[in-house]
Amino acid sequence: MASILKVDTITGVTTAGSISVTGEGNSTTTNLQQGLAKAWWSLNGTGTIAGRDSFNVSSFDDVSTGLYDANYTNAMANGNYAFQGTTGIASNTAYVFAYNSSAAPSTADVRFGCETSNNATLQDQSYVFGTISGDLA
Amino acid sequence: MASELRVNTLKDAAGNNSIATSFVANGSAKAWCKFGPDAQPDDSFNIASGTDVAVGQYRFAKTNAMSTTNYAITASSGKAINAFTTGDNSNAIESTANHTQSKYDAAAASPGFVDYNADGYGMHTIHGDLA
Repeated sequence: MASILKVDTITGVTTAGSISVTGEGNSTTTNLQQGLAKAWWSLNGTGTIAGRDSFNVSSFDDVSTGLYDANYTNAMANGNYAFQGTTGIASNTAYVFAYNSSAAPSTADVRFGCETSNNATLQDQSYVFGTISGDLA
Repeated sequence: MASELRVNTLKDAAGNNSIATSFVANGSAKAWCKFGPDAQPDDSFNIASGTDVAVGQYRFAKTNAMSTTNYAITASSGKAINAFTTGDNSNAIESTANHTQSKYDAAAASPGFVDYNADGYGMHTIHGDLA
């Protein structure tokens, strides 16, 4: 029988921040909290930058050309989280990096830059996507 | 006492924002890691080990295997210095015989294989089905 559970918060019994979920193979379990993205965004990084949509991001900073900060609403536990970024442009290929030459990934924010592959310079991009996996504080 | 709850749908207490539990299992990352030039994870989930195989080439073993080799890996890099040539660390997933349910190969290329700069790093996230 189908069922619906109505709750606002799910908390582990043995450890508050650890809940097991049975995987698709019906045997191995995975950790719910560890597998959830802790932040994500779609950013228009041109002109007056603006987040199109996001989760756990309070604001974006336009640091300089092709360089941005995403500021978290809820802090991460440390700077050792994984960042994945993608950008799309029409005329050539660009990469997105976590960029720690001027600011290492921190509990409060991550700095990321868009670099073109053809001449390896920072460049503003219209579509900049990011996802954060790691531990919340 | 530990308990097992079997439900198909989760909602908030007001009855809104429903999500099927299938999305919880399918939408959760099954592994992630941040690692340095020596391939050793600074932090990770479901990654048992990292090995520096060759210049710019790295191999990672999972703690719990995936059900097939058709899982998705997204990768990114940390640029450590304000230079845009060697060691810029564009991050690639290699299609090798070591891409299995329990391990995978990755590379740093700029564009040929190159080790990460001393304070550079790579980051991976894996989505797919656990075994």
